[in-house]
Amino acid sequence: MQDQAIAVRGPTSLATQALHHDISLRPDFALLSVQLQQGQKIHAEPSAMATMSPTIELKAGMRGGVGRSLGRMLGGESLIVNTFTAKHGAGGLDLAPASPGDVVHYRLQGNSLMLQRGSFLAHSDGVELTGKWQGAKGFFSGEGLVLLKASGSGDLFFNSYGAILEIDVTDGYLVDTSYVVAFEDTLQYTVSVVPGLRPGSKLKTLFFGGEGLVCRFSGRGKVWIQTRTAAPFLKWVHPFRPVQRSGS
Amino acid sequence: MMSGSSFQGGLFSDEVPGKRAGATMRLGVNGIDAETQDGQSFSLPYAQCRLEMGGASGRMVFCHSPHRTLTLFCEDPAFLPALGEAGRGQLAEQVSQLTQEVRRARKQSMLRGVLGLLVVVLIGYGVYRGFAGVTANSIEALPIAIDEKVGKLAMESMDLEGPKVTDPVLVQAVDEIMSRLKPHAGTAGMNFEVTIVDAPLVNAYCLPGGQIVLFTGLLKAAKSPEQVAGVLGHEMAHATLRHGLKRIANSLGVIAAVNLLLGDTSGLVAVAVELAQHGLLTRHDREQETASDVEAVRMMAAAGLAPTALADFFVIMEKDGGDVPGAIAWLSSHPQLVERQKEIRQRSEKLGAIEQRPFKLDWEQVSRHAKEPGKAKDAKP
Repeated sequence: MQDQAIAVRGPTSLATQALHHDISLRPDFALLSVQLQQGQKIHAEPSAMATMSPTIELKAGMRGGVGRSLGRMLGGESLIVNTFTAKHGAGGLDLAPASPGDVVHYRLQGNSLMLQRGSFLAHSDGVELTGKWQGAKGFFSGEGLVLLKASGSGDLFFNSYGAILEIDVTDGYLVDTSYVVAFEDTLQYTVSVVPGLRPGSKLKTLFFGGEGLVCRFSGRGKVWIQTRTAAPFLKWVHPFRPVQRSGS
Repeated sequence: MMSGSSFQGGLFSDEVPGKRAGATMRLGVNGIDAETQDGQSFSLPYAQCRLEMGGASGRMVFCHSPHRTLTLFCEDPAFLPALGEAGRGQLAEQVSQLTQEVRRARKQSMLRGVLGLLVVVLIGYGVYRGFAGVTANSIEALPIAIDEKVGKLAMESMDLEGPKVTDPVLVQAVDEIMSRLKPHAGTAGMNFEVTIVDAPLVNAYCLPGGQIVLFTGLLKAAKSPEQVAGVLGHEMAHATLRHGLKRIANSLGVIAAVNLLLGDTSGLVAVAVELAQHGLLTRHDREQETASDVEAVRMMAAAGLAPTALADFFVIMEKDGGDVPGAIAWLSSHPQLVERQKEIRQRSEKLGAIEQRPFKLDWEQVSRHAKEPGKAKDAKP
């Protein structure tokens, strides 16, 4: 696995049809630049494309059929995935995620990666993206009932709000649910209330907060966490918003 | 699964870059052979293999070497059974233990799911009850003019199942009964209007706003004007308690509640007509029937009539139900007769002695006319 997730530059082997890519302006306003050889493709979330060569053709569609598309939609992504193909010769394109933050590359080797809703940016051919029902875990996590699941063999790019930390979990690890960006399929996880809270506070956080809920990972694998989350930032900004007064 | 099958999975080892790699695994004679996509080969003898379940799905099988220097993993559902059979059953015991664990975990998660669902259903029911309360209250706040509009339109679109009766004997008798009851109606200002319909149905119903339909079959079956008064009082109560509108609101659900709160009743009228055409507007639930019985008892007592007459009418219905043609109509739209009789008699007793002022109607004459409206000949005195 020569191209680890945190690696910035990825001149990967042509045999596996890996994408030549570069992630610049990290970590706050990261931009993904991809060089496509003729005939090569990349699939990206709608409105991510910032620039592209005239040799590249864009096609929008529901990749993977209605089932997978609905799964993606429940996972906080669009029904539609844009496919960029270097049809008329090699060319490059720049992809920008919606939120300010970092972009990470991950090379899938027949395994799966679980992504938090909204963190998908792009993937190469050979990768399937669908929703994964979380049941009660999702119901109480405050982050949605469905996680995105990327599986197959190929390149995957995901983004965060804020910078990204990669954590190698070898035993147990706790992460606040809202900070989880992605994790490998070898990790087992449960959602629980922060240990040590009084029973009353537990109930309060369970039903009204969403805050204080943690993902408890066990087993071995990598977890990517973001250094900021959007909701507390919005709360922090809120008092400074200009408010229109009623009346004259 | 035979030895030699291959499975897609992965491995953890310090010897591969990044300590993790995707791999293809083969179940050999003595152990599991794994080859990464970059061509590195690993082998884990069955005798040293420690099995474990886990992963994000909870269904990934991990095979650890003694000091966990090598871990092979695979999510293929066929992998675990194949491991049990491979290598002359060396891992069979561990595999059966894991299979049991998986079953137990699945059972627990199913139980949790069912409990979760139950909680969601209970919360949903609570919200529904709350909503029903809101619609009932919002209907109380509506002007009676809306009931009248809805009732009038429903009346026009309803199939009356017989010709309207103009026989003066019947009309006067019903008018007299109504004039005794009207001053004691629960809601002032409601215009009650009785339409007598010549049909063998032993039934009567009331539409919102006070439009009452009374069939000659009921007049024939009743043994006294007080019994008819009981039935009419009961039907009037449906109107004054606004059961029809509440029924519409419940049928329409949230949209109706919003419409009612915003005061837009056009949708309401359309639904009323629709319900009336299916005869649903005249059918009430048990709660509404009981409420109307209670109100009828109060009205009759206030009008100087024995409230037990309504219960007596129920008895006739029960006894002669099979003989009286069309009696099934009243029975089907007014269920639980026995319990309702009991309730009516208990409430009458609680009211104590009433100064009774019976009707001075010639009921035999009325019954005769009910049999042949407009044609019955009365003997000259």
